[in-house]
Amino acid sequence: MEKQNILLVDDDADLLKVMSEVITTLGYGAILASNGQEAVLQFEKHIPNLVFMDVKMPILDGFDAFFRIRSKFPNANIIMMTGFADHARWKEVKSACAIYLLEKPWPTEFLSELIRRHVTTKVSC
Amino acid sequence: MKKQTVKKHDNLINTEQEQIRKIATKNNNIEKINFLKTELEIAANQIQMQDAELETATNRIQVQDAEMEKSAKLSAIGLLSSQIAHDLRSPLAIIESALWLLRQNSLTEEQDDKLQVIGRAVNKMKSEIDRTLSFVRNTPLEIQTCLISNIIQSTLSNINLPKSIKVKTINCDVMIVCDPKKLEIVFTNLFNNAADAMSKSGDLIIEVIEDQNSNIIKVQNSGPTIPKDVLSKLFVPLFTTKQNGTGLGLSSCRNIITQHAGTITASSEPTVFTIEIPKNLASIVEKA
Ligand SMILES: Nc1ncnc2c1ncn2[C@@H]1O[C@H](COP(=O)(O)OP(=O)(O)O)[C@@H](O)[C@H]1O
Ligand SMILES: [Mg+2]
Repeated sequence: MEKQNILLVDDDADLLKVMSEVITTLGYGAILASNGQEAVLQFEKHIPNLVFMDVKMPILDGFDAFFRIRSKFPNANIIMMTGFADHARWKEVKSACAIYLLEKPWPTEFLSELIRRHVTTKVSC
Repeated sequence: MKKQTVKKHDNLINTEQEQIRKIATKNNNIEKINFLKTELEIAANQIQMQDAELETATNRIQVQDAEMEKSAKLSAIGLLSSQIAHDLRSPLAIIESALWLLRQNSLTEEQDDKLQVIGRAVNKMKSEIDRTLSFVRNTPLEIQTCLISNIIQSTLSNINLPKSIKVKTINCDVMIVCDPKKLEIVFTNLFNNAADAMSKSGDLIIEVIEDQNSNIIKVQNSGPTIPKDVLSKLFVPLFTTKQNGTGLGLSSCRNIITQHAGTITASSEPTVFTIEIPKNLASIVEKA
């Protein structure tokens, strides 16, 4: 079976580093992007099974990147990550079928379960 | 001779009348003086009253000034702390993930011990951040039904109470409808305060009493009596008697319990914090 790929988007290089190591340890492939704009490009290039997208990023923030991806890919599985929840904007992306708002920091066991549940399902929005 | 006597008599009468007149004038003057004195007293009283009013007004202005300063301070704290929270949570996520990666390898006892210490420190930072944020912003409740004893155990495993503090739980295996994460913030604050109050050693007793309509949780600690003037200010934001205190702990607790449509109160001798949460919370929240 082909490896399932996960796109990780965060402006903190160390977060990308450890998160990608965790994800490869868990048996998935990791694709990286360090802002919303790169995320859109990487998504179009690789069509990953799942996306973890930080909210606060330079150039293009996570919410805007979410909508750009969603407008082209109604089936994209996207989980938002945040240090501090902006509930107003979360409601916006949630109504556009974002899967989950993952608050930093998270226990890795929880991350693993979240991936297991959503890496193969397809949202339709 | 007779005439003379009469005249003399007349003179006498005249002097007498004169004297009477003088006395009358004197009396009149005394009356006037008395009257003026009363007037003066009234005026003095009025001045005193106006003085007092002025003082009250000045006090009110001072109180308003202090309140304005406090609310400015609070909103500054609000802005700053949500900024800090966002900025600290990413690095915490990095540390937690790195810890997990390290634990995938086989570790020596020494390494495992140190990693556990780091893990506990991370937990402590997380709960500090949660505590500050819960004060700054009311996030919506995430309601679940859970065992109170589980929330207490989870709290105790995340904070490091000194071993010399004996923890006793009474009747805590009671189901409660609440946001367990938020209740954990409340317990963290109460337990830490209790530990601070007892300094070295003492008893921490947690008791649950089931009422018909609500669950009552009592958190009691031994240690010195809370002075009356402190007792009345416990829940006031920024009130602290500690060198390194924030004074945000108990006001966060009250915010959270109020969100649960409940109450939290304190009493002394012995020190007890009493939380009451309605059993029909789910339906209250649904309506809101
Ligand atoms: N269990 C307790 N025993 C005695 N005093 C307490 C207790 N809990 C709180 N206090 C008092 O209330 C104050 C405010 O507490 P809190 O809001 O948690 O802020 P902080 O702990 O940062 O001072 C404390 O500084 C302390 O004086
Ligand atoms: Mg405190």
